[in-house]
Amino acid sequence: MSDRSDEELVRLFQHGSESAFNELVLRYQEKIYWVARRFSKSHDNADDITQEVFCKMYESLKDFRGDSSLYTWLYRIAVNVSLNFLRRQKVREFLRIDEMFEIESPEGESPDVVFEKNEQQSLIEQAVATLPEKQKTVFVMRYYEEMSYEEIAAILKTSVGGLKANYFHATRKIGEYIRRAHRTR
Amino acid sequence: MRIEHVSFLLPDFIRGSLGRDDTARVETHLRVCTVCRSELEELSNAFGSIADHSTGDVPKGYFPSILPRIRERLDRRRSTPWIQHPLVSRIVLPLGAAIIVAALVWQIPVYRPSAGNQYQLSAVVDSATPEEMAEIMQANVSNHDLNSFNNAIMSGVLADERFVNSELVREALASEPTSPFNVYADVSSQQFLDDLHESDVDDVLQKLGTMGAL
Ligand SMILES: [Zn+2]
Repeated sequence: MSDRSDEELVRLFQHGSESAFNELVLRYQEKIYWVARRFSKSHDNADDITQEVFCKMYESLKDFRGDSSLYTWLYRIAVNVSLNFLRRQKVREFLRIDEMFEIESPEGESPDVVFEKNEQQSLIEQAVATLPEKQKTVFVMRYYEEMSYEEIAAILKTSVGGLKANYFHATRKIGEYIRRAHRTR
Repeated sequence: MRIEHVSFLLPDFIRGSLGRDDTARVETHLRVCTVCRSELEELSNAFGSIADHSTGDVPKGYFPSILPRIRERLDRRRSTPWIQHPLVSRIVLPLGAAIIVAALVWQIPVYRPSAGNQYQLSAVVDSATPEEMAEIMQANVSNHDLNSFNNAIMSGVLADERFVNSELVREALASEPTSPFNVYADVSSQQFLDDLHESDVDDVLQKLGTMGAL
């Protein structure tokens, strides 16, 4: 990988260089993957979200004017795509379409396999998944990304007030979840 | 006198990311408040166990596989330029989604696991706009190949005169040289879903929420 700056690569891409895009993907794929993974609790979901984030980057990078750093911009996309993914999942779970088409679905969806999948999920992932959207978002940004409350507020387009409370409640709930899980094992 | 607890500052206090003034305030308060002291202990334990449990693993060789698949995804989108056609996004996709929902609701209700949900689902279908239907379906068929829905669409609800005679369908059929449903049927769900507008998901959720469905 070259040591060209983000700005340079963006400019090259805007002038038609596809390899500049590739380089940006390689530069940020791990970071974005982990953002997605923390939101979406499974590797498969995170993989899908990661691809989607970079496709969105491809489609809108021509409009990127450098008002923020590229990573901040990309991070914002990642959060939005993740949250959208979770919302869709919620609707999907409500309608339970997957169950409806049980007959057609591959064997991979049998209860045993689903159970194993859950076992593979780390306890943290399970715990984070139980949080309400706002608490989840704030926790991921503050704990894992160590972002300031101002940055979090900017990305979520909310005010700073309340974010500390969200962080507090999220931490407590995760702690409780893990403690309960240990007791029952 | 009402004591002002410092609970909400404690997570940052524990992780050392609090400013100097707030740190001093927390320390002073902790000396006199047993409530916050036990809160501090609980949170410290929580952070301890969070640190003990790492996030799950990533399959071997995963990261090098991302770029080629992103490229594939981009190519796939580029190879279906019809999806950009205003008619497609305005009418065919939402209508198609509405038809699928309708197919699910009216043609195969026997498979539904719970009758209660079915009632709610019908109510959603009745009250939602085509765009909202599109969103619902976007959330629902993304794991399935759209082709697997074709039979239901083509043989079932399409024959329903409510749809065949509707203004939307007539307009769609009249202005698209080939039948939009043929075009529509050719596309896998993922491609078609990716291109729909995202902001309406909120509205759908809200609607489901006010119906007490979620
Ligand atoms: Zn106190």
